[in-house]
Amino acid sequence: MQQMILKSPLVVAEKKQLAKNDIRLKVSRKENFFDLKFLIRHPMETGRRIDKINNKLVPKDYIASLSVSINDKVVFDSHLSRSVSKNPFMHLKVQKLFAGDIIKVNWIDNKNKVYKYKKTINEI
Amino acid sequence: MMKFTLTRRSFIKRLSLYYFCLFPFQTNFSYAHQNIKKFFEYTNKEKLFDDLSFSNLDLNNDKNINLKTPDIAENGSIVPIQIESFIDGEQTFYLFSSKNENPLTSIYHFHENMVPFVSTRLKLQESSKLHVFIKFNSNIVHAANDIEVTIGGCGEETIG
Repeated sequence: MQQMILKSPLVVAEKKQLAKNDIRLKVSRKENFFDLKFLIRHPMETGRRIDKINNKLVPKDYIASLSVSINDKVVFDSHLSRSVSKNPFMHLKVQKLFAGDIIKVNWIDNKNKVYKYKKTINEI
Repeated sequence: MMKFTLTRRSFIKRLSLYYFCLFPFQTNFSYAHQNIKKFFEYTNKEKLFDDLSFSNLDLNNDKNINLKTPDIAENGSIVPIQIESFIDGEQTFYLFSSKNENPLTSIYHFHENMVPFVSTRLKLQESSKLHVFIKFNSNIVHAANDIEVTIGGCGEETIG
């Protein structure tokens, strides 16, 4: 019975879920440009939502700024606020990209905590 | 002969030295955000436009901006938005929603080697107008769309 439970798809789906401040990044080739899509798991609390168990306001918690760089050169720079929806997803387009390039994504909390992510592209 | 001794006094001196060495690197990273941070806390839309020098403009839809929004958004907490501009070179997008508590929602800056295109998801409190301003070479272009929201996406205000 235990083996059956381990093989069921529900358990596998639970394992793949991202934790807070984890990122999933994807690069794909199009005709004249490259698609760059990423999703960061983050609650993006506005400070107005009420926790129904305690009946108290949930404190603010959101990503304040985010930047993307290719080979240590900043390409995209953004300032976000609490009115961006939770688990912020972004779809961008890059003109030139080569195999072996390093993509870095850095983002900062409203509490000035820095998070960094790095990925090298092997094949496009 | 010099003797290496670690007294309490020298230890504190050394600690303070290390602290001042590391401190500027931490602040430099988030320095750019400190200047713009105040604009995200404005509550009055017209005052915000004045301070960002967007007030004396024709609020017509420009041909160089392609703004895609849904006509009716059932859930205000996830409203998909797509912006594309046909202007070359570096530029910044400013996004406003007129009836949110803080009208300025986000700013996007595109450097070289980047197509000026972004698609994200925003929260909207009520059915309102979404403004986009694009700054390039000290020129400003504008576009706006109406969005109808059935359920507000910014949470409740009062504790019941």
